[in-house]
Formats: sequence, structure tokens, C-alpha cells
Amino acid sequence: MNHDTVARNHKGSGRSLAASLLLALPMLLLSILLLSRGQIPAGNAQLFAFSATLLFLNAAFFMMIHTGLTDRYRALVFVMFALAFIISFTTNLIETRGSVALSEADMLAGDTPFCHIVIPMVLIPAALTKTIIFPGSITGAHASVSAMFVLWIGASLAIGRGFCSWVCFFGGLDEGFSRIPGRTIVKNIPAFWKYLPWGILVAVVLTSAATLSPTYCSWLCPFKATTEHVQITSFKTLLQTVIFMAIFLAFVVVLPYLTKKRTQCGLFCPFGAFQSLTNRINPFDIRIDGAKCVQCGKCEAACPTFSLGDEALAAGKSGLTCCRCGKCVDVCHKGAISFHVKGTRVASVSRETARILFLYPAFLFMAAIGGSMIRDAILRLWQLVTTGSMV
Amino acid sequence: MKAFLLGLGNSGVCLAYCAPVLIPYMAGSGGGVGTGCLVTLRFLCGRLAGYCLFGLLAWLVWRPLLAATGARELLSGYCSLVLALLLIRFGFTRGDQSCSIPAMLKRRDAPLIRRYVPELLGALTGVSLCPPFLLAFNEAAAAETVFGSVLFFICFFAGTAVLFMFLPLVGLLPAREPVQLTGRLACGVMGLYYLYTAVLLVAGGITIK
Repeated sequence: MNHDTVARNHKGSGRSLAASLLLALPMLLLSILLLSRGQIPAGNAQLFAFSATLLFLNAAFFMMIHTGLTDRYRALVFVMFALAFIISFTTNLIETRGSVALSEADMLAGDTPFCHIVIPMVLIPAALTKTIIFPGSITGAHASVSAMFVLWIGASLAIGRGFCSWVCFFGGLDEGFSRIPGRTIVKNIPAFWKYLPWGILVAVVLTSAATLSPTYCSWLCPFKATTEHVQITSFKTLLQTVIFMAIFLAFVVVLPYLTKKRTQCGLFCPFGAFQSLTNRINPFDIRIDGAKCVQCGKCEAACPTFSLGDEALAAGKSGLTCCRCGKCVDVCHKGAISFHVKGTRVASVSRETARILFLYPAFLFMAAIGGSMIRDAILRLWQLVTTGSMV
Repeated sequence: MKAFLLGLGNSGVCLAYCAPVLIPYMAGSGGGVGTGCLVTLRFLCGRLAGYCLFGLLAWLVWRPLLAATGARELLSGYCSLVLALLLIRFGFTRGDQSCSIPAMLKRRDAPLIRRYVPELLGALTGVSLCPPFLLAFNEAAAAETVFGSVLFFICFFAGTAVLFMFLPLVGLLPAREPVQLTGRLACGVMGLYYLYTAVLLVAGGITIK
């Protein structure tokens, strides 16, 4: 189902322009605070980057509020966020250590920024040996272990696996490739493969505990193709590079394009599987009203992470792996699917109220993490245009 | 006693290396705690057989050969390759129940290799040639008789096997399809990991400048 069809089917939020502006105002104030950190940016470039980021984020949020559509504007920001992360992160690495390649000296110095995907792998070794098996800094440095843990805990409690659709700075890549216009070439993926992320999670958690090293990072993570990777100095590092490039091309580029699904997030990422468990503890879920549902299958076809099917429809809620992207809510022309606040009766809180209650924490996390990256990326591009170099 | 204590001291390491193979296999096979006990026992028997074989080899003629780094890595590499193929076959082939314990017990005519999967997994993971193993190997090689060498390895094995008594608890996991599928896929992924390890060990330390 394309986006024009979504818009035609959708009746909008039914809210006036003034009411939408009022609802979007707190996000504007919060985003000013987050992006400025209490200081008005000095210099034309800084001011331009700050203003452009603020305008972009708040325009997207306003449109979410006013149109009643969540996914299309979320996806726009999410994809921009991922692209901005690549620009910002890699140029920062080149500036600080001269290369995106990670040397042994960098690892020994604890200079590796901590990535959230490592979290499941470090837990057992940390519990057993009181050691974080990652060559990063606990505190103080950019993307320190403690900072990422605090972010992860906060996001997990607020939005559960919504982390994968609103906070993860890698997810926008396969989201972007899945939205390249074109027909769906691979329509049926055997249900068996939905359990692969869980299988990978079990395998990397056990091997990381056995070897006291983050094995997913060492030999499986496809995002080393877009961020930092170990210097190629031996057959081993060459093999690792070939593996992660192949996985990146397959799961992040080709399969999302062919299936129009987020195959890296839905069929591979062990962090996504792990994060699914946090869907049990956060206050929101997606409910399906059986009385309104006509079993047209549009939601199942639209769901990017294979979280909807016969079982979910029968249970009246999305599966454990739901990443709260809002696509099924937007696509359902009968209004049978909605965001829901746990502990409340579906009828007692309106669909739109529950959606707004979810949007605020989700978008706030997105703005907090993505905002600074988008601003930095704009600065880098400004620098490229004016000086010929982003570094 | 020395051998047992050496094994006991390294039982955590042995469990850590064997668990990534055994836990997914048990979860993927389904069955309760009883089945888990049987699988663990068969796995340990495979390990014991591997250790006894090494005990024999240690005493005979292989000590100088296996002391050489290259030969050691090659042997580990080939064992990892066989282990990888076993795990990949179990993990990524659908509807093949012949590797599960209940089916294996019923099908007496099943090919030999399929009937003894836990033992094979145990033997192959046992041949890890980790430092404690090599230490035991050297100690056994110094024994006066072949019986002494094999006995040393049996005592070493007994020490390493102590912590394995907790593994059958994996059988408490509900034997529902999602758990079994996850277990099987985890085995498949472990197989890929061992395949990667095998390639590195067999290919050796090629340096790129």
C-alpha cells in the first residue's frame, strides 16, 4: 500500500490547526532546550544548523499531530537521523584519530564509542567477572558505556522496542532502503526465519560469555560498513570485513529493497530480539479491535518487522517484536488498530490520546539523540560546501 | 587428584566453551529435564571418549607433533569444521526430526552419524586444545604407562564435568515451537561461528601489510 493510499484512507486527526500547534508547542520548547543546551549558537553556520534542525524536527512532529499519521513523518526523521549519524560519526572519528579504522592501540586506550547493540553481550560477563567486555570508557568519553546504558534504560522503560523505530541510529538505513519506490519482489518469507534474531541473540550471548569478547561486533555486525571497523592487517580481519560487508549488502540494502521490510531489524539484529523483551515492561502497546477488523491483511503486509499475523489478530494486539513504528495504525482503513496505554480499557482512552501520549516520549528520545547528529551533519555539509572538506 | 583439581579449576572455562553448543542443541531438540539429562550425559560421554583418545595419543607418539603450533591449529581447525557442519545441518534444515533425541531413540535404522549427534558434539567440543587441556596433555604425556596417561585424562575430565550438572535445567524451557526454532537457529549460528573459526585456524596466520 503506498503512501497516497494511506492518506486517502485516513480521516486525519480531526484536530484544528490551532489545537495541533498548541499540542506541538511543548515539543518545540523541549527541543530548543535539548539542541541549544542553554546557549544560543554563535556564528552563521552554527545558527543555520541549529535552526534547520529545529525546524525539521518540529515540522515533522507537528505533521504527526495534525494529520494523525505517525509512520511517514517518523520514517522521514528516522532515515535522516541514520544518514546524519554516518556523516557526523565518521567525520568525528577522522578528526579525532585520523581514520574510521580501529587499531589495537585505540582499543587498548578505551577509545571505542559504546554501541547499544553490544548491551545483551556484556551483561553476563559483567555479572560474572565485573568487567565490561568492550574497549570503551565507562564514563567521560563520547558515547561512554554509562551514558549509553542510561539512555537505553530510559528508552526501554518509556517505549520498549520502540527504541528500534525511534532511537536506533542504524535502523533508518534499512528503513530507507525498504522505502525505495518499486514493487515488492519477495513477498513471502517463511515464518521460520523470524526466529533468526533470537537464535543469533542466544549464540552471541553465550559465545561472548565464553570468550569474554563481544562476538557479534567481531564477526557479524553489518554496520561496521558505515561506521568504524577494525584495521585490515591480517587474514582474520580481512575475513571479518568480507563477512560484515556481505551481511550489510544482503540485510540492509538488497533484502529491504526486495521485500519492502526492515529485514536487518526483523530478521537479523540480536539487539532487536533482546529489546523485544522490554515490550513487556513499558506502558504502551498496539491493540487490534476484533469487532472492526475485517482481516484484509494490509497491516500484516505493512508491518516492517513481521510482528502481525493470524496469531496477533486473534490475540488482539501486535506481537512481541512490534517496534511501535505506527505503520499498521496508519494503514488500517477501518481504524481497528491503535496505540494503547496498558492498564486502561481500550474504550476509556481515545485512540488519538493514546497515540499522543506515546508520541511525546518517543519523539523526545528521537530529538534528543537524532537532533544533535542532524545538526552536526548539517554543519559538516556546510563546511564541505564552503571549504571543500567535511573534516 | 592433581588431574581432577586441574579439571575442576577449569570447569568454568570448559562449561563456557561447551554451553554455546549444548544449550541451543537441547533447546532445539525439545524435551524436559529428563531428556536434558540424557543429552548432557551423552555429550559428556563424547567428551570423555575424546579425552581418552587424547590420553592415549599423549602417551604414544604425538607429543612433539602436537606441541608444534601449526599442527595443533590444523587439528583444532578440522575438528571445528566437522563440528560446524554438524551444527549447521541441525540448525538450518527444517522438519528434520532425526536429530532429536526422541526420534533417534525410536529410529534404530537411522544413519550412524545422526544417532550419535550429542556424542559427536561432545567429542568435537572437547578437542578445543585450550591451555588447560594442553597442560593436562603435557602432564599425561609424562606418565609412565598408557594406563596412567588415560587415567590422568579421565580424572581431568571428571573435574571439568562438575558444572555440567546444571545444564539439564535447560529442559525446564517450555517445549514450544518458538523455543525449539530459536534453539535450532542458535545451533546453526554457532555452526557458522565454528566454520569461521575453522577457516581462521586452517588458513593460519596470514599477515597483510
